Amino acid sequence: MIKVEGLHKSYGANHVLRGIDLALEKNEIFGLLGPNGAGKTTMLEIMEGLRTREEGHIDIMGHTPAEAVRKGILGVQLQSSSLPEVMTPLDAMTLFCRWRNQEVRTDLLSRFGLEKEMKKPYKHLSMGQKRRLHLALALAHEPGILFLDEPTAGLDVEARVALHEDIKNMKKKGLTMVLASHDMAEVESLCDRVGILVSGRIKKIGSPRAIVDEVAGETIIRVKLATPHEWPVFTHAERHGESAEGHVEWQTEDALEGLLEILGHIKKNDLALLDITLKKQTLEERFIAIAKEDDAE
Amino acid sequence: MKPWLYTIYLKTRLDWRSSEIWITHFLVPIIFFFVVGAVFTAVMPETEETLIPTMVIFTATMGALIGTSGTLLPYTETPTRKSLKAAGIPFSSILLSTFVAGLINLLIVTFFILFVAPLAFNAAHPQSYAVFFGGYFLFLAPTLLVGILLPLLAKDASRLTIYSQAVFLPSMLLSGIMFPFEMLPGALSAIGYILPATHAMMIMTEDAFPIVNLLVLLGFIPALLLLIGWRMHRLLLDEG
Repeated sequence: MIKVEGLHKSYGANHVLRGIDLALEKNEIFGLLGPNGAGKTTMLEIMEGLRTREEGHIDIMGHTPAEAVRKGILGVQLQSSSLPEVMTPLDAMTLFCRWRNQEVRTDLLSRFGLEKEMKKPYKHLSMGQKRRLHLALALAHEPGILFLDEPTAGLDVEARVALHEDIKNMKKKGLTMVLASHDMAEVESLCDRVGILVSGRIKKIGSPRAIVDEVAGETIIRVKLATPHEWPVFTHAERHGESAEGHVEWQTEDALEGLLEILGHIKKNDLALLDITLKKQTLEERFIAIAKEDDAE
Repeated sequence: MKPWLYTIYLKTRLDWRSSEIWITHFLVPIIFFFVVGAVFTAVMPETEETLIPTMVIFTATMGALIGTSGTLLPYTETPTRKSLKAAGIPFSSILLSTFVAGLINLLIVTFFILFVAPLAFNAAHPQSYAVFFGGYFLFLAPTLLVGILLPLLAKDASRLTIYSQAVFLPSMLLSGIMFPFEMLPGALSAIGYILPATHAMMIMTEDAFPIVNLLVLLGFIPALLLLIGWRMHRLLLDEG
């Protein structure tokens, strides 16, 4: 459905994208993760036809991004969208629909909870209402592919949950979506596949589960004692760090052996144990680890 | 064609919702017209001869450089520009609708002045309406184009104010609408000569088209269109 090959982009001496290759399937929600400045917005905006590229090829259902915009294949909700202050949601929807030669989609404004705000100037809409308006505008021409750049940034919990439901419903209707977000839980719960973009390259790609499971063998053992203790070096668990709440953490590839070794030490030294937990890495921790690996390189 | 017409209709309506447009296109020019009309014709009765072209040029200059340019600025800001581009709305449709909306508003006030000035201040009618309107449109077009170019050059409202004033004030002081052009010192009259308002004043007070002024005003239009095209291309080529 979307194929990106060898995408490069620089701003002066700053080489932002360094050879992006990507293929997206129909009806997939693809999440794009990356630290600030990784090139997520640049990559999305090139795919949306909003920016030029230096090298590389993008094919969107047989079209270039600019053609895909003209033909109404793409719907785009930008990270920072805006409209003139005096324009109402109804004006905007009418304008957008007229340029697509279609009926005015007031039904979408109602669906996104903007029925009462249809004639309210843009400057008087809340952040959440603006986001929902731009989403409604992006969907007005029923695109096959929807780009969402930080769609829930600045939204309260209620609006965020409502938008997540909308995204899930749009998937059920067959839409393919590309979602850039800083919210790991959002990406984990919504996306079929995730690409982790670091320093202009996609470092990992796969389902959120698969990315986490790459380090499935690794378990974190967290222990909290009543009194400070000088811990020895264990054979089956490697010291990982210490939490702000006073938990000492070990990372182990053999959870059972590691746990037995630590518990054995506690029993042998008659230490007062307050808390002990085992946990797998989350997508967020995995993401941080991948970003750190890149820093180290 | 329909989306273009709707964009012009919408922009005109949006402009009418803007207090800035009411002030710069209607209120200030009309108040200024009554004040200047009353004071100048009382102190210097000969200004009755030039009151209409003076006020019409003032209205168009203020409306285009301060009002129209201000209403275009929000559309040139990156988030709005990108939102429109992503929706497949050509930016040229916004520029065209800004031009037409400005033209409509300023024509309304021009007709008001043309109708009221002879009645209220005994102002002289134009010697030739054909020459008057020919000169007026040849002046209004480049002036509105300057009003469109300025927000494409300015990155924010404060810079736009500086750019607008940098064109507006010389247009008022050096074009011959406040003082006779011939009274200006050499260097200032040279500056005045490159302003559309100077040539408009020279045409609109004549009964036949002065060919040089006509050609100068005609020359402004393609030059400004080229500059607008170049700025638009720069803005839309890449947002980086």
